[in-house]
Parts: sequence; structure tokens; C-alpha cells
Amino acid sequence: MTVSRFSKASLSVPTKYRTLMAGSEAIIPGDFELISTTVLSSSAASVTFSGLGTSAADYKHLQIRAVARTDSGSAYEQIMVRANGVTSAAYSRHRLVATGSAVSSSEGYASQTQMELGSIVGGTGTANAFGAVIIDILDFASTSKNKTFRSLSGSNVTGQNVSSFESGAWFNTAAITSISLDRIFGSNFVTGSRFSLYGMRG
Amino acid sequence: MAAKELITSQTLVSTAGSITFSSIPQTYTDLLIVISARGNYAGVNDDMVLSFNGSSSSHSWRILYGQGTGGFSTSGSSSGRYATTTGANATSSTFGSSQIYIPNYAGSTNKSVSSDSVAENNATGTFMEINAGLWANTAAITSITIADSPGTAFQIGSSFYLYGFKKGSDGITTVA
Repeated sequence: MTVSRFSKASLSVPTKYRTLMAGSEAIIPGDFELISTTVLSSSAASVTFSGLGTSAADYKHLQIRAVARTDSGSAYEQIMVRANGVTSAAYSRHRLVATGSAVSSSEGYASQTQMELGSIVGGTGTANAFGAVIIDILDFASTSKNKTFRSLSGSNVTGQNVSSFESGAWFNTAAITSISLDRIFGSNFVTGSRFSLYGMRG
Repeated sequence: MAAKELITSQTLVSTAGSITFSSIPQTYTDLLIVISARGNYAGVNDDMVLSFNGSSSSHSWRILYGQGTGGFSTSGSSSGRYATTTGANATSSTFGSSQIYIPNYAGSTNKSVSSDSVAENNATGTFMEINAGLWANTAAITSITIADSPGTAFQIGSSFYLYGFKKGSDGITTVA
């Protein structure tokens, strides 16, 4: 008996099987899929999605969804984002922010050592409140484009009400193979913070 | 069952003033357009004007935008200017990031459009916006044209992706 080797090219529709036993259920994957998710069971200084050259090889775009809080000494925190572990001045960052009483876009910076792409809750914010963040990275594996990041986030807690629309860029045409999420002010993301990475086919 | 499906995509191998998604299936509930583009307008950003079913009339929009130095709002009604992207004066090899959401595109009501888009640049100044738009036409959308304007040509490598949100089975929705 000859067993054919399935390859992506040999399938007209990407299909996953729970097992290869006869009669097993076929799962037709969608075009927006969860790649990885982490819910912190203890505090952590940072979270990194790595190995994207393999784990995200089937996708054109990435989306990070996070619900997070830190132990900073204020009600406010900001997520710091880097690509491929690069810590040199290879990034830009920009913000459009609403605080409930004013709109400002006063933050525009070039040649930064990180992007800031998420307004979340800090240590003195309302108890059990976490900020929500969505970050999109289109054509993350392109080798002809610098990498543009777009983010929507916010938190509405005592001492800090922020609705943020932010962007940044990593000025490098290399494919993104890892994304690290860190905090600006606090020491750690707290237990219960969740970070999920999704892939979109294109 | 997958909720969001890629319908089609286009990546430019030569410059083009516009791209068109035609013969859009009417089997989804909503559409999502995701764009990584760069225009040739001599500015940090360039705009993208959409027309539906070949119609450039009955469009209106209102945006909240920032340029790295302040937050502003403006509006218009002469075209479907529903998103922005990076222009020719932005840092080289840098493309914008945009998503445009059109719910109930195949329905018989007027068509709402919501989008968020950024034009990045390695400088203080950039352009980023959140846009609420309306096509005051009850026809189902069967084609979408995205044009570079005020620029005249999207650059090589600009990519456009059209996704559809699938209709799901009910059983959990209660209407009172």
C-alpha cells in the first residue's frame, strides 16, 4: 500500500484532520486563526511570541489581542513592543489619545528603541480591571516592506481614562520572526493577563 | 465553522491608480478590507477613495485624526474618502496599515463604513485616523473600487485583501 504524503500544495482547500484514521473528522480551517495564547498564572516581566517563521508561516497578517494589567505605581501603563528582539533605535511611534475631556495627538517620535502600542491598567487602577488591546501587523513576513503596527486600546478606571489609537513602525524589511511585549512603568504584567496571537490568511 | 474568510486579494506588481474587487459574493453578512499600501502623493500620507458599484456619489465621511502634533476632526461629502495610507514623502519602503469594515453590505439599507488607518513615518509627523462613513444607497454592494487620491498611483507591493464574515446558524440569540 502506498501512503501519499499530504502537502499544502496538494490540497485545494487547507484541511486538518484530527487523526488519519478512516472516518476521522476533517476540519476546514478558517482564515483567521488562533496561533498561540498565554494567560499568566504568575506575574511576568514580558511575553514573547517567537518562532513565527514556522508557527505563522501560513498567514499574511498577525493580530495580537491582549487583556492586561501591570503593577506600576499609577493607574496607567503602556505596552512596549519590539520585533525580532531588536533594541536599537529602529522604531517610530505615534498616538491619538482621548481622555474623556480632551483629544491629543501630541506624541510623535522617530528613531525610538521601542514602539508603545497599548494603553492598559496600572497597579493603582480600579481593582480587577484590565485594559484591552488589539494590535494589527499586516504583511509581517514581507521582505520588501518596513513593518507598520496599528493598535486600538483603552482602559476606563479611576485615575486614568484613556482611549488610544496608536501606531508604530519597525524600519527593517526583514520578516518578523518574534514579537515581544513589555511594560514601560511597572515591573511585571500581573496574574490573569492574557496575550493571544492570531494569524490571518491572505 | 470558520467565521472570517478571505474572498480575494491583489498585490501590485506595477503601479496602479486603483484596484477593484468585482462580483463580490452576496453570501456573507459583512465585509472587511485590509490594506497595506503606499501612494505617490507628495505628502506623509495619501488618501484612499472608495466607490461602490461604480458609484462615487452619495458618500459622506467624518474623521478623528492625528498628525503627531495634535488631534483634529473634519468631514466631507464629495467622495468615499474612507481611509488613508502612506504617501511619497514618508520614510522609504514604509507602507500604511488600514482596515475598512462594511457591515450588512448585501442588505437593503444604506451602507455604513467604519475604518481605522495609519500612515507611518520615521519622524514626529504622521497621519492616523478613525473614520465613520456612509454610502446613502440601499443597493447591495457587488463591487468596490479603491483609488489613490489625491495621489495617482499605488506603489508596487501595495496589497489589498477582501474578507467576508460568514452567516452563522442561530440558536443563541433572543429577541425581546
